[in-house]
Amino acid sequence: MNRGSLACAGVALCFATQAGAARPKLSDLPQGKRAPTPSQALPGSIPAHATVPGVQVIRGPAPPPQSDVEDAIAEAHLADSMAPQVTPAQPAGISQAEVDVQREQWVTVLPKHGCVAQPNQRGGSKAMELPRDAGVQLLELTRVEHKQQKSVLITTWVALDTATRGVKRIHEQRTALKHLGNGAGKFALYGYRTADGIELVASAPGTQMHAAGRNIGGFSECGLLQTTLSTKRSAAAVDIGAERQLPPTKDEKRDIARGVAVTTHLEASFAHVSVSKLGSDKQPVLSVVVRKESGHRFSPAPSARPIRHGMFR
Amino acid sequence: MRYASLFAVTGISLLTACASSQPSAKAPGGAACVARNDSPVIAPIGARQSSALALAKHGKRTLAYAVGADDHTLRTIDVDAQKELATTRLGGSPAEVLVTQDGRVLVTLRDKNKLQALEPSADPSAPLTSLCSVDTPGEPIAMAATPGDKSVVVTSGWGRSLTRYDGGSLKLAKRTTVPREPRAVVISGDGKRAFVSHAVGGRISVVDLAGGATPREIRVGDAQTKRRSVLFGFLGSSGSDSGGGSRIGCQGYALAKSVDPGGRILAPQVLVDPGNPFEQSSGYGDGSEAAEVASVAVIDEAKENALEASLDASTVPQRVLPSSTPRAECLLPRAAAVDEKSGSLLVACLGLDSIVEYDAASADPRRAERRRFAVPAGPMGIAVDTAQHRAVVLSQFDHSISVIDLKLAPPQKSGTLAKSAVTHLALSRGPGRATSGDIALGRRLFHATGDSRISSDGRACASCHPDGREDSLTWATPGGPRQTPMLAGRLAKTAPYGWDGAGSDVETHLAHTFQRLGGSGLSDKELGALLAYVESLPTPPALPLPDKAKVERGKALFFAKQSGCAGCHGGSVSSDGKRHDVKTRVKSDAQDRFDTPSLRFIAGTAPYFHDGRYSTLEELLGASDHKMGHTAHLSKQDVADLASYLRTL
Repeated sequence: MNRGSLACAGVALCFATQAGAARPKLSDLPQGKRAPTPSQALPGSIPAHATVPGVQVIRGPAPPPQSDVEDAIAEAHLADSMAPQVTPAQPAGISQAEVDVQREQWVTVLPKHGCVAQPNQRGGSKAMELPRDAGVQLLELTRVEHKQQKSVLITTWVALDTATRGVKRIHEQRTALKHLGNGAGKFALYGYRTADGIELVASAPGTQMHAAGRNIGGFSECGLLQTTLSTKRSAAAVDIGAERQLPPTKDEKRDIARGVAVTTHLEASFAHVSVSKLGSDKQPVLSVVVRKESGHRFSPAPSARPIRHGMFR
Repeated sequence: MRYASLFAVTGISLLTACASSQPSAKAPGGAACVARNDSPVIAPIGARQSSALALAKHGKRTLAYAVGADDHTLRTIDVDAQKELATTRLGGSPAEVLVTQDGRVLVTLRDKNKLQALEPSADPSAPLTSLCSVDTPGEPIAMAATPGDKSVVVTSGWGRSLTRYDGGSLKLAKRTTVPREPRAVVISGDGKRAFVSHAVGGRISVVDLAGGATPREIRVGDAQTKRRSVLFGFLGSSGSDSGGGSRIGCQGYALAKSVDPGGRILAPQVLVDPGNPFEQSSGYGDGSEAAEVASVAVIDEAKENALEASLDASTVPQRVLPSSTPRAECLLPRAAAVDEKSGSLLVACLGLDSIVEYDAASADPRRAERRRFAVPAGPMGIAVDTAQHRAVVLSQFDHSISVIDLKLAPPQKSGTLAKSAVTHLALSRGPGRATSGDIALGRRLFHATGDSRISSDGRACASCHPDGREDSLTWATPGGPRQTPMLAGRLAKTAPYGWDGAGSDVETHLAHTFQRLGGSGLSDKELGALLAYVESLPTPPALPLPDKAKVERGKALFFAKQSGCAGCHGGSVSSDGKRHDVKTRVKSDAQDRFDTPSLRFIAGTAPYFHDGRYSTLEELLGASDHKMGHTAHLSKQDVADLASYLRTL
């Protein structure tokens, strides 16, 4: 979201801190294990009519995001607004023939919710491009589902035939999650414990998320971020941050349309999670603090029309 | 006077009782110190360690006893009614206060080297009665009580000591020498060990209360010896270590014990990167990243080590997000307390003028910040009333008490600190230093963190000059590696200023300093106020002479023509005000002549030399022959005698 087109003439973050609720204990977290990648052989081909609910595969590369301000609106509703028949507009300076070639050479997987990734790849994206001639590929889709006040991490492995765009479910694992805290907007933090650590799942649709700690790093732009804290050492800690631009107000939209400089409103969440075991601790001690902040960034006057970039604008 | 609307000074000062409470008889401890009331009138609330403010239960009332360091008083405040009840005048400047289980109030008198015991009467609006005062090593500051109050331990900053007294009679039981500038102290759960923080030096000392003369040391940052060895390598032997990246703990003024989980001692501090002495820098430190970052070291009480994760200065939450601006950090932590109900660590942050609430269970509490509460200027003391789930804060600069309701939910809308949860009470003001005028303004400026007029990275004057002294660090500067000089008592008549002697007057030197810190500078009025404050800084107390004959021999050597010490370090300020080439120029030194520093209070300002290369005076005297004076002809005993004399200056 912090693209070069947005010059930070001034950034002022202010506080809207949140006191932690009762501190969760490690034993409060449901036991689970990271889902192993299925080892079964993939089918040689998958017919075009084979589908998996919530997984759409379109022809061509992923549609690029709109302008920065529009992103804020678009990202929050991206999954729901995407349709199989997405046919992005033709960009200026690109011939129709070139567009057609691109559309023939690539396919894009668009999960309705959550992220798609190659197996064993931490992180993920909200859209994955694959060459049309890649054959049958195993993909990992993750999402968090809430039912009856219970949260579950669902990991689904699907096989995709890039030639036919047919999709087949291979395996699905459901892992119970403990809710650990809420931040700004829809930011929520969950976790479960494993034999040697804690798996953290941060969910914040429509935001970019980063994770940082000693020997820990991560980035997600698909609204879901997973990271691991080891309990094998005396201590481990990670910071997870999520930020999103808030949609412009009615007046700001008018300013944008008139080409007037605008203030971009930001909403950020920070989660700090640590686990430590000192000499007197019988069990590792878990600490979770989720804080939210808001701020703004002054942006130069945008052009009346959003800046068009990418292959299909 | 930001909180002027909340203050009601006039009425309070007229209504409160006020009386002098000089000790009835000075005693080395004994029956006079024992509580006189058969049943205690007050009962302590909260942790068994001192602060600038202590809470006690008096019947159904909750009382706060707040030290008045400026006007030498102890004030009694009814916390529930938010009313000042009484003022007890003391015989010196109080540092901290501790309420004992037998109903006494103990106060350290920092400038008098005394521990005074007082006792309240049944009438809480009456001034306290002094029972006794006992001698302490130089500059008593903090106290802590062992389980059952069997013993009380006292830290002495300038006196470098932890002294244990009998809890009842206050008779001296044991004195342990600890490293420089001890400040806060807490007692281990079993009552057998004391953990002592230090304002400088990046360490926590562990003292066995029963036996064992030598305290153990827990490093809370990178070892300073490593930094100095880097410099030695730089001076002579091969030095492959660039010296970059290591950080040293500083500003260790506060300690608190976590209750749940237990076994954790929390030490708010800052981690300092003074820069690479191999290279000239553009300011003080490398400038590539913040020279000082806040930290809360987590000490494992059982293992006597610091949790490495709590010393990680590499990441602050805001930097996780590319466009976020790091918030102002707590660079001058001065007091700490733990709220058992929420498991929070509350840190009083000078300069920031806030109480910052962290999760006490975090492996790195600095990154587990929960809330901030704005308080009036100069928060120096804090205590938690667990039963009422509130914290009481003493703001020394604004002479006020703040009560923070920890139960209140934080604001859900952005834009404010948690102001709604805090109420303030202005305290009466007696005559004294820094209570008004230029000195008061100068004190605020001296401790102003995050002030772009002072520095571009949040550092305050007090960051490098805690208590107006020095941080014991050698900084990379444009002129080369430079040891921070002491200010208190060393400023007057010591022109020129700066190690290179470039500042003909203090104003010129300060302007230069602000420039190096990236600050925009102060107005003439503010500059004058800052100087007034610095010149008013109390000097360290005189220490007793260890061996008068030894000192006399050392004095004779100092003034002997053959040694040549007094040639440059003579006069009332121990400096000739000139620059000399002491044959020690190193690669990153911009020039080879250095201003003769004053030797006043040199006993407490190790390490020594303009680049801090010598750990002790003896080391300096042994290694600087023919560079500054002549010492090769001196015997080992002579050197020891000379050093003894220097320590009296």
